[in-house]
Amino acid sequence: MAHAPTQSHDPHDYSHHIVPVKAYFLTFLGLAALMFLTIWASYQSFPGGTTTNNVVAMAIAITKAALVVGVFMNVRNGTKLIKMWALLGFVWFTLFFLMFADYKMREHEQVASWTTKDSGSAMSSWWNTEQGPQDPNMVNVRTRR
Amino acid sequence: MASIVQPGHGAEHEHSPVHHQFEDFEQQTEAYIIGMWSFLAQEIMFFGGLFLIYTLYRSRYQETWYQAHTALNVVMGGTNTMVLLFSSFTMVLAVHAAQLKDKKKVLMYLGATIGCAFVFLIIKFFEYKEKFEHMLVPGPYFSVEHFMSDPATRGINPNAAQIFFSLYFAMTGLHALHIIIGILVLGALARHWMKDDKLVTHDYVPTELVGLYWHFVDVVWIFLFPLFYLIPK
Repeated sequence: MAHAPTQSHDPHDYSHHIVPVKAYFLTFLGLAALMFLTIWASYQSFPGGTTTNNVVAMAIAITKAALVVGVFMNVRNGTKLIKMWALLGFVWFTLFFLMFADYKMREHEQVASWTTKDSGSAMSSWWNTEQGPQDPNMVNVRTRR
Repeated sequence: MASIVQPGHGAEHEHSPVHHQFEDFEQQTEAYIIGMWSFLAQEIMFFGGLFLIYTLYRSRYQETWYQAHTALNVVMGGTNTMVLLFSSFTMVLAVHAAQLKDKKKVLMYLGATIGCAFVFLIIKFFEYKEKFEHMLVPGPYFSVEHFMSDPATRGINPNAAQIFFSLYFAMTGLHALHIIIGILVLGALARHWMKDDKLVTHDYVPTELVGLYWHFVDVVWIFLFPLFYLIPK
């Protein structure tokens, strides 16, 4: 374990920023353990089905990311401005909610090339082949035009 | 302006790591780190667009994507996750050594980080090679036969499977590009250390900034790994 040099009066002394190696090592062990946990969790059947699996997988990933950002990237010892800046980058992901609000509402007013089964005209050719499930809803939507 | 300059200020701080436009070391460090985080914020948006496409198509074609993901190699993906996590650990030790101005250890840990980056790319190369051999690369020769041998998987949408592999190559490819750029940046940093450049030896922050980039690349992989290799049924 490394020890920080004794405190000096040098204005450029930053020894108080030094995090002991042990903290980094424990974080690494935690990250490795979480990786095995996420692999194990992906093969389990939780009550609630796939949704629960997805929530568990993302919760573990976010925990791992928080450990890396907080300890390895040392944001936890940063100034308030640094903390805000680091958080700001991830705020963008809240826009996911807006996008899904749009897509979920399309189910109430369907248009050609958009059904709950098929979300794009790129897919349509397959739905009308013999392998495809010949979705009658799809046909209705297409002829409505 | 001259009135605020302390007498002898220039001479006294000739070897100071603080540049003249900053009040003190603390302010300079904060400005450096915020500059790096601004770059990382736009990197998050860059990858975020792909994550958005991923989320949309996965929510529409969960069943097909579950089948398509069985063509990926969890052992190789898991090994790569460990390699990257370990490289983040060696990177943070390099920054730690830079704070203690221990040149020998900085170079040792930077070398270990670069080594891990190469191991990651080599494993990735073999994974991609396997996908090419199994005709899983989107395009005219794309075929789902490799993972459709089981009759239970009949009825999966090959076009949606193609979207899965398009995103697999786009997202892991963009990530691999960041690893390659990381190797170059880490190499350039190691060169500064070898030449005893005051830019890095008098101030640990440039080493820390390269570390921030490297940890960011690790964070991206932390999300890519479960999203591609561990899709639940």
